[in-house]
Amino acid sequence: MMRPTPYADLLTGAFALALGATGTVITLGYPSTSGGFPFALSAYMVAPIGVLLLFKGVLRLALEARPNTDGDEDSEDAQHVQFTPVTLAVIAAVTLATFAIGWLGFIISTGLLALVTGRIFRTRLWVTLVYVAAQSAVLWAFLRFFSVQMPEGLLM
Amino acid sequence: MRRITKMAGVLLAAWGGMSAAVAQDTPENFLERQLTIVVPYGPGGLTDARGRAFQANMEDIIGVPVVVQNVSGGGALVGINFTYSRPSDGQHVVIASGSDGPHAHSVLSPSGLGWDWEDWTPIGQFARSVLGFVAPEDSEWDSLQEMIDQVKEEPGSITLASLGPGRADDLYMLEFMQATDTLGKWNWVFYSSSGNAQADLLTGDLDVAYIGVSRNDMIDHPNFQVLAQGLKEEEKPADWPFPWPTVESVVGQELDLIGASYATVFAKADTPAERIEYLEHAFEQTANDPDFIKMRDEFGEPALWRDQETAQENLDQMHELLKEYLPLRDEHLE
Amino acid sequence: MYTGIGDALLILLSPMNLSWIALGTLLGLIAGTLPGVSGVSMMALLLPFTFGMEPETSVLMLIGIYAASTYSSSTGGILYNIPGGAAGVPTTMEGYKLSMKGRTGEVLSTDIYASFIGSTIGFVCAVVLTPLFITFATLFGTAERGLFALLALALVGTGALSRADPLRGLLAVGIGLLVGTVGMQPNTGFVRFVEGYPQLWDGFHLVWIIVGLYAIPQIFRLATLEKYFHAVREMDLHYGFGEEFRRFLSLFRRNRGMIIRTGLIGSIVGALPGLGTVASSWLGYQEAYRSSKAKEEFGNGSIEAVAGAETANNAAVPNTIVPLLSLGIPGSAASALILGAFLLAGVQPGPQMMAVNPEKVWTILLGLFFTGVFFVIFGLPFHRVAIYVTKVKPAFLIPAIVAFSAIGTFLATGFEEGIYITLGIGLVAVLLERMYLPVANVLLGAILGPTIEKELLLAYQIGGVGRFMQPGAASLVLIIAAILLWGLYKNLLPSLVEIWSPKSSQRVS
Repeated sequence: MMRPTPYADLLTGAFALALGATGTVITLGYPSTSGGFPFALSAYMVAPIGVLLLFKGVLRLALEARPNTDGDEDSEDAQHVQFTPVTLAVIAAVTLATFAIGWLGFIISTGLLALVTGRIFRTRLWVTLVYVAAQSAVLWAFLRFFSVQMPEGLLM
Repeated sequence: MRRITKMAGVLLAAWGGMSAAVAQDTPENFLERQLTIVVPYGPGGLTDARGRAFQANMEDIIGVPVVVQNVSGGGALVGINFTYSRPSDGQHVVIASGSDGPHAHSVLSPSGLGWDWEDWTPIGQFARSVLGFVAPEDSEWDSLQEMIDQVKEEPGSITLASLGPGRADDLYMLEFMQATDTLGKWNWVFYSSSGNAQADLLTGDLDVAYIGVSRNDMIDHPNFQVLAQGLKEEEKPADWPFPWPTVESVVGQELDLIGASYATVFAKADTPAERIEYLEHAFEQTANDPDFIKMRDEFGEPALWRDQETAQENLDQMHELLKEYLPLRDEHLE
Repeated sequence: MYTGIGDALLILLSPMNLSWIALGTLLGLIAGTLPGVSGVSMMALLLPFTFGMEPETSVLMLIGIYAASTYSSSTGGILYNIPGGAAGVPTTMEGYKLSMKGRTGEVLSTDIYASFIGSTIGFVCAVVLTPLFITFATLFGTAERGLFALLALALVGTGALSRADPLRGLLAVGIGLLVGTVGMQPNTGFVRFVEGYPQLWDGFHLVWIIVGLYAIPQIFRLATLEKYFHAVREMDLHYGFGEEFRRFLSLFRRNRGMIIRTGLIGSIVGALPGLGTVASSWLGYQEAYRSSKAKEEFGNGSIEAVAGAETANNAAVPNTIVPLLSLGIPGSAASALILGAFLLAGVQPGPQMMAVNPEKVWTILLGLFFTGVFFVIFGLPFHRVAIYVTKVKPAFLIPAIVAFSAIGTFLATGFEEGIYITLGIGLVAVLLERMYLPVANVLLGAILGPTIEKELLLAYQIGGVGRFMQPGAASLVLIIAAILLWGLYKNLLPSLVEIWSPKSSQRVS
């Protein structure tokens, strides 16, 4: 497995410390029977590991001659999501479509999502349209057959 | 498929049934597409089984399919909230027990709700939620009274489990403890399901548990004995299949909360009156249907029907009593 | 003990019943493969179709779904890195990496044959060891259950899962445990972190977490990397039944002991109330790691890990029904549904069932075994079809994954906010991965944390510290302490030393 960069150590450490600190502060006011476990996790596990990771990152930055900062070339890391324009467009589309489920309804939202991803990946329009129709029909049949009450939105 | 042929039959029956219904001056069937019964718990378990019994037998009566929608979370509160978020058109009803219906959550909920008990109306009640004190078959104590005597003599020496916390069961236990002068004397713990509590009666962690007992296998069970059932003495039907003494008879006094608990169908109170009337008619017809009765008997919860008025009276009373007992809970539970 | 077995075979071999088991198996295969659609959801969806059926028939269909969905919860994981359920996560971790190396056919075959061996071992254990399991289960009270879950967490969390980077592994487990504390504290009713949101009072549903941690990041991964999705689409689709079978036989010969041990572990864990198939698959994974001569393969694609995890979780399946059949106590939602089907048919599961209806008990146990046979029969051609889904372009695969994930997520709790929460978990998972935090550890913590907290606190409420001094609990405490100390010495200390001397350390592999 790829070794994370010192910057990744710093980021992870800061995240853990913030999470641990938040958890500690919130659970401090809870009754001990109910808040003891999350308090212990935050204060004695997550936050200290955060401190260790921060410390590790700082030490590595100070001591390592040439910190390896381009970790993403590693084959393992090539599987990490990177925030390219296409990815950001897909994240935006998926997020919007998900939140539209309650408003436009499930079938319409997922149909629109397929239309948009078809455009993002430059698939031929007629192929996309055929796919949208097929997907909607399959989903509709699935929901009807099993009487699943997904939000219907505009189709109600 | 069976379902498709049934659907066609149902459509025909619906048409025929509707004309017949109008002719007989029964309330008009307003259901066009389906009736959704919201079960505020996941699949499997007691409440789900109650919903499924209606699903299996009601379609022939109302002429449209019955869909059971499991909306789980928050000890039935999420399902109740979900039903409240639907339009007040009578197409969604929710099933709950005496412990976790809107009448109880409106008192017990730790956070503010967008509705109150007055925003709900019962359609009717179709089963008794009978809980009881269950001990292992080889228990040191042969009766509930022996246990009461024991904790009085040696407080904390008996571990008692009830379902909760956050359900009306917390208050049932407090009422019982108050009536027997044993408040604070039991080692009282909470379990999320009857099954888990039963398992720990066998492992010896629990001495007694107040859990669901209306199952036929609890009669002469090789591993468990029911010491008392939470059923009001005066409401015990003549043909009641379960032979155990009632909690009231053990305690020697009438109890307000224990034994007054019924499984109820609820709808939103602002649903048009004629629709409520039709739903009451439809649920009553189903509850009296021989197939439904057989199914419920086999499950171990004998079917019954208590009309809207009786149900309303019962739940209003429960609601007021729960409010009355609430300070006691706050005093005795974290 | 064995009376009724002949009647059971007659019931099972009727063409009608065989067809319904087959249909149940097929539907279970599909449910298990779809992200988030659990076997329990599929069983609930099909309940209305069972009204009016013969009781044995409906129970047989339900157990077919249950068993097959456990087996196929890893299929989607191997092919697309999206496990269908928690029991399929260990196999996903290793199987997908192997798949990316062009060994798809081999992993799928190992998965199916190991599952079959697991379900056979599980069946034999359920038949032969049930009386022993019942005694065992009655010795396992609150303290033992909580400690056993802690033991599983300590074993797996400090073992195979965290060897690559112990500090991050431990942090990820901690995050998972913290996630598991969201919502109502089960012993006290106090609502933590989310008081104003009743939807979250029961905490984050396991299906939301699995779909969020696996399906959502995979959607964005498909969108991200041209290189990556080319690799996915160029996966070796070669799949020869005979060749793969021979390959599995040679794997089996090399790892006979490990496969039998994981089968036994799965059977025992399955019979313990409350832990079931998920803990079994992790412990099977850990056992494969412990006994492996190629430990470096773990985390990078290990075929032994797939065999171990799959044997264990499928061996657990028949035994999860043991508490229901022998004591009448449903230990899981799936058993509760099967109990419901029994009760609707007027059959009371419980200790008297073997005396009153032995043929019914045998029908269920043999039915589970038959399901194992059916999922081999259906699974092999099913893989051949499923494998081609990886050829679908991201433009279409993405909306399809979103749609089925949304259905699965919705079915888990029945309200649409669950879908939004799942998306949120998914976005956080993307960030966790960017921080090199292993999401499997987060999942492990989130699954075991609530059991550990609830049972240990309950044990303390019941018997104070003395409850942990009883022989069973005390032995578990000692074992856990030993494992933690060993884990600290073996894994965490070197990692801490590394902090002090980062220059001297080599790549952690």
